[in-house]
Amino acid sequence: MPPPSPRCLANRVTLYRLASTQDEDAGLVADPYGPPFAIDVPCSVQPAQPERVVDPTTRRLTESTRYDVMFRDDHSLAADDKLVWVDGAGIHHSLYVRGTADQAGRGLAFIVSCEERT
Amino acid sequence: MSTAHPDLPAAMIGWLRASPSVVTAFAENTNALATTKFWADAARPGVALPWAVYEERDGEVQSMTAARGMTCSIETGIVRFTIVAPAKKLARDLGRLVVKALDDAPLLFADGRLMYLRAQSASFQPVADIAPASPTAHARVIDFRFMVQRTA
Repeated sequence: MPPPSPRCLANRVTLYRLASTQDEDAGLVADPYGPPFAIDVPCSVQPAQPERVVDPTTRRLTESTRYDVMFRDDHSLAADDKLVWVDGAGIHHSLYVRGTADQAGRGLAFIVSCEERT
Repeated sequence: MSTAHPDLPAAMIGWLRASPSVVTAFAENTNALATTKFWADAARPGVALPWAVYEERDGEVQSMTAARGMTCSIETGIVRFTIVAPAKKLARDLGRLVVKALDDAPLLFADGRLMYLRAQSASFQPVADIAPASPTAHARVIDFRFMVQRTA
């Protein structure tokens, strides 16, 4: 499997690492991210079908969209790291990482599974 | 500050919206009801953290013996508020504010007469997943026990 062509990586994202900073009650702070560790990173953002979710705990009707984001390089993105993507209409999307897969195990393409809730 | 409302939940929500400390803490915009932070059963899309949702549970009605053509009854039950915030300490603090506002509040409503209203329990419900536009959320659950007297 060859690495993805640069022509395929037409989107750009900003990457944030989760910082496990706590509030006084030992819960995560509301915005547990520092400055971005990478900006303008080439990738391919592939949204899946949105779903309607009524979360039984947060008690809010929510739209959940899963994304596969393909990178040429491994950015060691792990669960709850954040990608910010600005779409063609200028809308900012905060995508929270579910996990990273080294596609075909050859270190040539990395698929990051993400979720956005709005 | 009391206003007449049709029933107890309406009076509770109305009281919260009329409490300046609660309005400020929840960043409630009382002129934009589509994005209000106070909802029955489930908040709607577009509502930003924090919010509070109530549900009515465990209602029980005791009817008295009819006398002179009238029957009195007393309804007891639980109104459960779930307060969801992006940080744990904030969820706890908002819960305290809601309790402070509603405990023994002199609520007026058309559907009966309030005899008793106090918070009887508070707990946290772990939020395992991400929340709308936030990687973190914490849910504070507060049960208010009430008694309402009616005459029919």
